[in-house]
Amino acid sequence: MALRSGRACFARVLRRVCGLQGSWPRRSSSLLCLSAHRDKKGKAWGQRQPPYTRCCSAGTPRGHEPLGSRFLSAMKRQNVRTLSLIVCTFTYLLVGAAVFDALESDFEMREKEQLEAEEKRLQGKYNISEDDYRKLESIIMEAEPHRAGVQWKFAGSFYFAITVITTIGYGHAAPGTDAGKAFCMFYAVLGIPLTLVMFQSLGERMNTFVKYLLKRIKKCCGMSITDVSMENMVTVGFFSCIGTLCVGAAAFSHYEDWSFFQSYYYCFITLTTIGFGDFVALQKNRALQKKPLYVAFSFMYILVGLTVIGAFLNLVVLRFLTMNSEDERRDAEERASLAGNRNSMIIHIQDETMPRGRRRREPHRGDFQSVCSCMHYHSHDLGSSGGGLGNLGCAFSTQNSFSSQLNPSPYFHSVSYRIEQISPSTLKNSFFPSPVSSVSPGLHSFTDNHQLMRRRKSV
Amino acid sequence: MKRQNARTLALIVSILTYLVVGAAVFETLESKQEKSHKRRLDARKYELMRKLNLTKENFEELEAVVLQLKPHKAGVQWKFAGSFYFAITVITTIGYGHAAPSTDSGKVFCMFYALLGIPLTLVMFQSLGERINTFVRYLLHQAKKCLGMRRTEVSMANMVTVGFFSCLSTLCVGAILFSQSEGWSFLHAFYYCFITLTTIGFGDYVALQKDEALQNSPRYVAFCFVYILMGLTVIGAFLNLVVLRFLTMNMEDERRDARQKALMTYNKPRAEVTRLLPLSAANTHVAETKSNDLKGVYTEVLHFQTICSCLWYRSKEKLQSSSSMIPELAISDPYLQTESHYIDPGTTGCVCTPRHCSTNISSITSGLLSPFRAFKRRSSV
Repeated sequence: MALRSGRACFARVLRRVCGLQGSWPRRSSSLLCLSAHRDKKGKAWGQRQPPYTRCCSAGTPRGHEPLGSRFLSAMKRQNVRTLSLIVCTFTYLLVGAAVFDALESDFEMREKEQLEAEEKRLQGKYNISEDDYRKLESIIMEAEPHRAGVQWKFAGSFYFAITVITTIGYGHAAPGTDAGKAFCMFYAVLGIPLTLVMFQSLGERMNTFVKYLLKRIKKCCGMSITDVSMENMVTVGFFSCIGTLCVGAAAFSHYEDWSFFQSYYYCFITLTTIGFGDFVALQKNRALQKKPLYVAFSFMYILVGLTVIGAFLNLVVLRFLTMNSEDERRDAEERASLAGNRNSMIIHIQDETMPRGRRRREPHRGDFQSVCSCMHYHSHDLGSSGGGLGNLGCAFSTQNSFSSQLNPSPYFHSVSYRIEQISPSTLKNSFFPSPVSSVSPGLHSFTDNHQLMRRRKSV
Repeated sequence: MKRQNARTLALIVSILTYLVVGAAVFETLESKQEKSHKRRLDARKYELMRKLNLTKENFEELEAVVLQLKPHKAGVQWKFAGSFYFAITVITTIGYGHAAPSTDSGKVFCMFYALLGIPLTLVMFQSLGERINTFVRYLLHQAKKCLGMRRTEVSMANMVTVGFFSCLSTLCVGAILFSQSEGWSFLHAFYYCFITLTTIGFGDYVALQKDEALQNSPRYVAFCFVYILMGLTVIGAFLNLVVLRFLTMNMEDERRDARQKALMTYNKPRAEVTRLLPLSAANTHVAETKSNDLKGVYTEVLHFQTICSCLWYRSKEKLQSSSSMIPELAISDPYLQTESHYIDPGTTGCVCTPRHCSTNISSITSGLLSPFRAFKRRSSV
């Protein structure tokens, strides 16, 4: 008894530490697992172990093998992912540093020598003492921002405010007063998240609109498949980014007298919000005061360009930012399910047709446990199509014994699934390639919209 | 108007307002000071020019040289340490500008470097930030347990508080250390840390630029790099906690709308249910054949609503009896609250009480029949 409970305890600890994955590949997005009596009986499902209930054996410590050797394989997916990202980034930094060193170091040395020689020459030519020269130097450095004109009138301040909340941060003008610095910090604290959300929001709208346009174009062109694929969207997004950069490059090279390449570099550095400040628009010929149209164009360009880049990021990168959270949620559900409630059922349906491995279609949390529907498609009254579902039921028929209290019944084609959210769109969207996946649509949509579900009010 | 469009418009308007307000405030704070500072500098400049007998052109010549020498005065910028520093400022998008590639090939490489590096860094920081949040949540949970508190769940408010204070302390720690190492005042050092960790990176204050620190103080250099990366992680964790959900709002609403649209195209709940039946092919076929079979459809709905291991149907008789009640399902939820006639624990082996079943059914039925009603999250029965 003690041994059994000890084993169960160890199993729990192991689960917690290593996640619930054991060493199976987590390709399958969900596992069929019935949780009832798990802890009560301290043993696996016994009787008819269905082929999919791998998770039921998850808790049992297979770790008679040394833990260390299984550590990496048993490590939670999120941790592995995070570690590899860290390693990748460091490597990337090292490689970048090496390349920049190789590219720039020589030039820097040569330029430094030249300039210092020039400096000496001028010092001698104008007969300036060391002291005086230092004074001159400091004056010149301090006066640098003023060279480009008045920076803090309304137009310049607006420009500065843009560089703050978009985090571009050229530094061509920076608050000189302490009050300005303090306000700048508070301004950024609220402005940056607001801007992030705004650009993502607008970017998503743009993506939706582009998707709609593409669909119409495909229809008009009479193509057979009018669905807009991800590749289409990515291509369009990529080319619109390039297009935005080129338009800006052309415009700024004209107005600022830079070469096309320098303008392109400026636009790129600006729209990725790096914002070195080596090239800054609106700094020549007192443009901020004298050319309101050009000023307006610059502001619009920056904001629109950031939107286009933001839309592309929304399309491509945003999903990766939520990867760990989703995996964590999934793990939490599984933990909850295995911690089990009596009569609670976790129905995860193995989806063999998952196109994207990463997307988890499992349901969430313990709510799942409440929904175990004995799906009974005794569809004589409903027509022949029920036969199909009967097949589905058969796949799970070994699951009949949900609990010992249920009478196994021939009617119990145990297609269990979550009733929570079943909508035809999810069902219809090609979720029927395999019988298994047909019941998961509710899960699909549900999982995908975990957040959404929370926020939904009745419509 | 669609929710997403309204939201987007509202955000645009608020950003523009925010910019205008910010510009006005900055102008008020800085404009006067700028003018007076310029005047003073000009005065000093002219005085020095007179003293040294320099013409305007001479001065401009000197000015150009001095400004170009400025980055060089701060030390060697492109040896490995400096390049690493620069690479950090690129992929984290801080972008001080204290050193910027002068060669064209450097600029080109910089662009490609940023193209891959920035998303990688974004994902890395969010990933690590999420791990940190999880760990903090675990720690808080344990702490609550140890303290013997009744409710040991960690709420969002707890997490936000902890996150906020860790950000603040990161900034303060950095401010103290940089003010000592760089000779800045505490406020200026705090300002530097803030501007760096929010990746704005003006470049008015830049670390590692004094006394050839990049070459001569490797430990300080390492500290700076570690500080920047760790600080960005802490800020990233806080953003992950607070802001990330808002970045996906529109997308989720769009998905929801798509589903509702699909629902509407079917026009009636029975169509939904019909969809559930066929597994092989011909969904549409089924839909048509089912279109007349209201009774069958609602029966299916009821099938569906079997919950918590209640076994529903044993026979057609049951169907008959229940089908008579079907029309009323659509009408009144309260009806369902009553003891359902068609639940017969004995014969069906239902393990949950009829009331449980019926309440479950009611919520599900009503949900199904009014397709747009959100299903409440069910906890285990």
